[in-house]
Amino acid sequence: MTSTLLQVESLAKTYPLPGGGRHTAAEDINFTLQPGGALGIVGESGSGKTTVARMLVGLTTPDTGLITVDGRAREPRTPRRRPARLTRAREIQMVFQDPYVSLDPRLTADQCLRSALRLHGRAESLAATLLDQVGLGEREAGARPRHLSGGQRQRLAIARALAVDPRILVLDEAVAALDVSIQAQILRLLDDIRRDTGVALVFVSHDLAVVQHVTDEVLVMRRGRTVEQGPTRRVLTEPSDPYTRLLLASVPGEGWDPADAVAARAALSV
Amino acid sequence: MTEATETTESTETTESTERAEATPTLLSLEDLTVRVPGTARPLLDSVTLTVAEGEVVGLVGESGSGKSTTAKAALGLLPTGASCEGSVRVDGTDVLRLRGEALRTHRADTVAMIHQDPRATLNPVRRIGDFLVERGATRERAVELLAAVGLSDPEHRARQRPHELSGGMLQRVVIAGALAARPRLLLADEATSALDVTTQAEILTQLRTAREEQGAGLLFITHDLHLAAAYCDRVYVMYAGRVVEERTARALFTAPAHPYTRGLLSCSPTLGESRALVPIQGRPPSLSDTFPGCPFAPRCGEAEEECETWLPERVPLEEGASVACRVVGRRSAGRNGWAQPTTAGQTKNKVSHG
Repeated sequence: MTSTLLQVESLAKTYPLPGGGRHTAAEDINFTLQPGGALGIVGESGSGKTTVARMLVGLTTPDTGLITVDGRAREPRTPRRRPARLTRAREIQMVFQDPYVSLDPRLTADQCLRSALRLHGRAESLAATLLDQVGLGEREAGARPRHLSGGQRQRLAIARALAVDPRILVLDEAVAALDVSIQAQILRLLDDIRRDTGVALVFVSHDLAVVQHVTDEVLVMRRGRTVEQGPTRRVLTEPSDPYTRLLLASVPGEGWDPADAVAARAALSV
Repeated sequence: MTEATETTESTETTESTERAEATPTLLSLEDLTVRVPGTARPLLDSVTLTVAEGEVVGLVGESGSGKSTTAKAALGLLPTGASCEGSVRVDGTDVLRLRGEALRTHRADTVAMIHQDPRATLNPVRRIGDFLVERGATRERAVELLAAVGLSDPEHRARQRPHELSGGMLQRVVIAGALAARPRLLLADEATSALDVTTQAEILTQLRTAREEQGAGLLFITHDLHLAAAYCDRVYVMYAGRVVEERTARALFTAPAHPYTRGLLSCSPTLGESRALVPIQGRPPSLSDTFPGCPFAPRCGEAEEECETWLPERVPLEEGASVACRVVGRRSAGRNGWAQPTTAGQTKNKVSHG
């Protein structure tokens, strides 16, 4: 049994509503992640999965709850001192759905990686290794984001996150916008990276088939709450919660009939 | 908008009568080639496609494969400055020759298109009910239509404005609007791709029921191969502006023929299957890539030297299905069975044609 890398306890976030009262975006979220593990967070739009991802990275401040990496609690707010900020950044990195808005349009792929490496005091020569690791060649190294395809930009975003040598990579719908042939290349890349570097993944997605492929553990969210969590294989083959069953019944596949999903929703009766 | 050339007119009529035996053909594209200035290859290259009355036909492929351009051609809507060869017929009418009032009637009454983003279709300052009345429904029918697409409290919805409804609800409104004019042909361009899977399933069920009641044909565009195979009667797979495979939906699952279709299936994660994904090498072609032969050859694991110069043509498979692959075609002809599906399920195809 390896020690726990990431521990999340009773994480919660609410937002004020215009007419008074508060909207619960996430409530009582608990999970742990082992080094090199992969946890999926699935749910529909508005289920709170992105809120959880943003709280992990520190882009959203939780109302309550504790996020611990390697036994050290993460500060709810970004620390003021530079060394503390960099240490915090090395714990968790994030890859967003749209790499076009998360990359600096003025920097070439190579410059983008070098600036991240420099900031964290790592050798700039590692840029070439990182580009190679994500399958970007010489032409792409000298190209700015607008001259890269969607798949190449997402590879660069992953390389930039890895430049920091993080313990955990949080991917929020990172393959959702890609064509399937490119998506498969990125999923293969994530498998390789996980095996080679031992980075742990938190994989946020609405796509159950992709989550099944990438993760070992899964957490199913609905309306800000966890409805089911456990080993991915078990949850996706023998779901115990009716909502998980509804999600599974809604995924098109061989012999699928959309009416089955409608029946499953009726059974949910909420 | 441009003229269809004269040359292809005569050849097209003989072929289309041949294909329209069982049910009358509603939409028929014959060797449609669309070129726009400034691109190295045509947007569409010799696309031949039919949709019969009451039939659900899927159109799948990755971005830039020409799916949307194909659907828009049925509306007589081609990119600015485009030149085209071949013909587009809806219910026997040559769409590319329609002008003025006839074209407006065609777009308003005969064909209806449902786009991915409902907010691009709806006027934000007009009420939902007005949107439907504008499309030829009476107030009463507007409420009926809203109920038919699964909206609760339809009388109230008809008085609401678009900003008061969620994306899933708005897409239902757009579908109600598409059905309002009782079109013969529906074009759904990634109509449910942006929605949650549970909402998608509901909307597809309602679209199926409503469409069956009106007997309209549906051209269903999606990037999701599993969805196309599960929801459609027949499926066309497009790559680089060409149709590379035409199959019954079931055959697409059980015996995909074209290396690209097989590649797509083996790189799509499938629920309940733990096999490793096999990515297709390379990237989908852009409009600046040209191909002297088969466009898929550079990414194809089975390509031979001749494929680089082989001009794709349709090779017939079982039951009117076809594939545009030199290697598969040769094997199919040689052994008469390699690409033929062998499963018993083949006999249960929902639609027979050709």
